[in-house]
Formats: sequence, C-alpha cells, structure tokens
Amino acid sequence: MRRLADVKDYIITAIILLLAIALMINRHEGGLQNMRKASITVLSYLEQPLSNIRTYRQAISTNTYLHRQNILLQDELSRLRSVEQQNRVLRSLLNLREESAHHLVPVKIVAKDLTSVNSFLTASAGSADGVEPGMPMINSDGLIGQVILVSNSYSQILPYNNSMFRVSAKVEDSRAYGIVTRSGRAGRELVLQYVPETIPVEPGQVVQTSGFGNQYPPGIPIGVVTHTEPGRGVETQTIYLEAFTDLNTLAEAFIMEFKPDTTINNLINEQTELF
Amino acid sequence: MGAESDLVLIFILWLATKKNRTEVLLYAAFLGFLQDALTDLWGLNMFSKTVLVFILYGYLNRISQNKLLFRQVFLIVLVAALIHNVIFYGVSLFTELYSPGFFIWSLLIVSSLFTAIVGSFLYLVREDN
Repeated sequence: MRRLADVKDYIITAIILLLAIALMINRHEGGLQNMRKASITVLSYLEQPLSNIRTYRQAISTNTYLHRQNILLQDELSRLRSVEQQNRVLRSLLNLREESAHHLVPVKIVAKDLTSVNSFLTASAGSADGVEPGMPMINSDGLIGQVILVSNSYSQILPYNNSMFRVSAKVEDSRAYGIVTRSGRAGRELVLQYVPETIPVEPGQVVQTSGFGNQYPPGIPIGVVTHTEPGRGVETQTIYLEAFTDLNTLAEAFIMEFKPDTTINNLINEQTELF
Repeated sequence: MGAESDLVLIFILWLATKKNRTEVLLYAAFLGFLQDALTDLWGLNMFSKTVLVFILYGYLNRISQNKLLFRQVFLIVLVAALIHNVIFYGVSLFTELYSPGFFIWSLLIVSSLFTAIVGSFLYLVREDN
C-alpha cells in the first residue's frame, strides 16, 4: 500500500515537473501570451493599493526633503539679505568717507544700551586711533552722537537720544538756528528749540548742524521736520524732527576727527570773563 | 541587490510537516505556479518547489514530531532555501527566463539567509506551539 502511494507521488511529481518544463519552454518560445496578459492584469490590480502606499510614502519623504531644503534656503536667503544690507551700508559709508572734508575713523559698534536713561554706544576705536573726546560720530545717514570718554582702544559715545545730548542746529532752507535735544518720546524723535515763531518751518525740511557751537562742523544732517508747535508764553516755536540715523540697527560708523577752533574758544572765554 | 525572503517556500516547508506528500506536492505546484504567474517566470518556481518537496518531504515529515530549537529551524530552512535557490537558478540558466546577472551568488546566499531568518521567527511565533 505504501509503495502504491509512493508510485502515485512519483507520477504526480513527474506530471508537475513536465508541466513546469512545458510552461518554461512555452514562455521561452513566446507562448503563453494570454496567460501572461491575464497574470499581468491580476498583478496590476494587486499592486495598485501597494503603489498608492508607495506613492504616499514617496510623497512624505519628498516633502521632508523639500521642507529641509526650504529651511536651508530660507537660512541662506536671510544670510544673503543681511550681507546685502551690510554691503549697502558699507558702500554708503565709503562714499561718505571719500566726500568728507575731515578725516574719518571707521569704527564698529561693540556695545550699546539705548533703553536706559543713560543710553550709550561703545565704538571700537580709541586714543590709539586718534579719537578724542568731543569728536562727532556720524554715518552716511547723519549725526549719531558725540565722543565723551576715550580709552586706548575704545571710546564711549553719547547718542542723540541721551537726555544730556545737545547740538546747535539750523533748518536747511531758512538758516534759523536753535538747539536740538531729545524729545523725551520713544523712537527717533528729536526736538529743535529756540527758533523764532516768525521763521516759517514746514514738515519735510532738513535740519543739520549749524557749526555755531564750535562743537560740530556745519552741514551734518540730523533729521527731517515732522511738525511744529508754538511755544507757550515765549516767542519761539518747538520743532519736532525725526532723526535720520537709526540707532537700533546701527553697526558701523565713523568718528569725525573734528577739533574745535581754539581761537574761537579763547575769544568766547575772554568775553565770558569780561562780563 | 533585490534579495528577498521566499514566504511561499516557508509555507510549503510548514505544510510538509503537517500534511501527506501528495497534498504537499500539489500545494507546492499550485503555489509555485501562482508565484510564477505573478513574477512572469513561468514554470521556474513550480519546478523548483516541487523538486524541493520531493527531496525533503521524507526528512521534514520525520522531524515534524520533534521539538526543534531556534537554530535547528534556522539551519533546516537555510538548507532548504539554498537547495531551492540552487535548483531555481540552475533551471533558469537553461531556460534563460531569469537573469540574475552578477549578483547570482549573493542572491543565492542572501535570499536564502533572509528566508531562513524569517522562517525561524515565524516558527517562534506560530500558534501551534
């Protein structure tokens, strides 16, 4: 009985193998076209959901890749914008240096405090670079402040938004002069006082240093007039202006090697002693 | 490299420990035929799986009552997969239906290893423990 079963298995095996060989030969000789078509159709139906999953996974990985690339490009763009802005500032500073009548010492702002009452800037040049107290600090936009303390390598600047800051200024067209101080409000607002009410001042006019105080050379732009108010109980008007330079974004500047004329100072001192 | 485990082979090896030879032969032929139809390798899997069952059925049926260790199962599946792959590639050389190219040996060995690993783990997690 066992032998009969074995014989049966041998026969089945032989038939299956012959069938397999027949399939191989037919496939090799270009037969089985209909069966192949049917199997490909069935396979395509079976693979459709898998291909959807594959497409979805591919989309996720592509999305992750693009997201990463986007972040890198944003970073690159931000860096380039920063470089472009710095380039623009440096170009304008270079132009200013070439046009200025006084020697300009290029400096970087290494420290700043603009929020406290005693605001200050610290510049990367000191007495070793020829910087002395009293020299004005400017950039291509206009006046920034004045050097008040000097060490060998660094100098301390009194910016225009400090309550101690004073500068003799004039309105560009009228030549009416007054004193510019901080207005007490936040931002870049300054105030020009002691200009007679009879002098017409319009918004948009430029205010610049007058040079009468013998502290700054004349013609350094300070700001633009925004509005005016009549003085209370006096015959002068109060002129509000917006400073040209933005202290918040300030990073590079020049210290102008301007020294007050000692002859004028001596004459002023002698007159003070006379009266 | 294209190497992959042969789940159909693992199933047939499991069947060989449970059913009689005639049934396993027919299952091997039918499943091999289906595998061929899906991979467009007409007759190759059918032939190699049938021959494998014919060769190994006696041994597999004999050890089916034993409690086998993981490494023993791994070795048995590995040897079975190697025999299957050798037959498969041997026949494919004659029929030129399948061209594994330069990776024939790595495919032979790596595919067999994959099949052995998957088969061993399936043996560990099977429900008729």
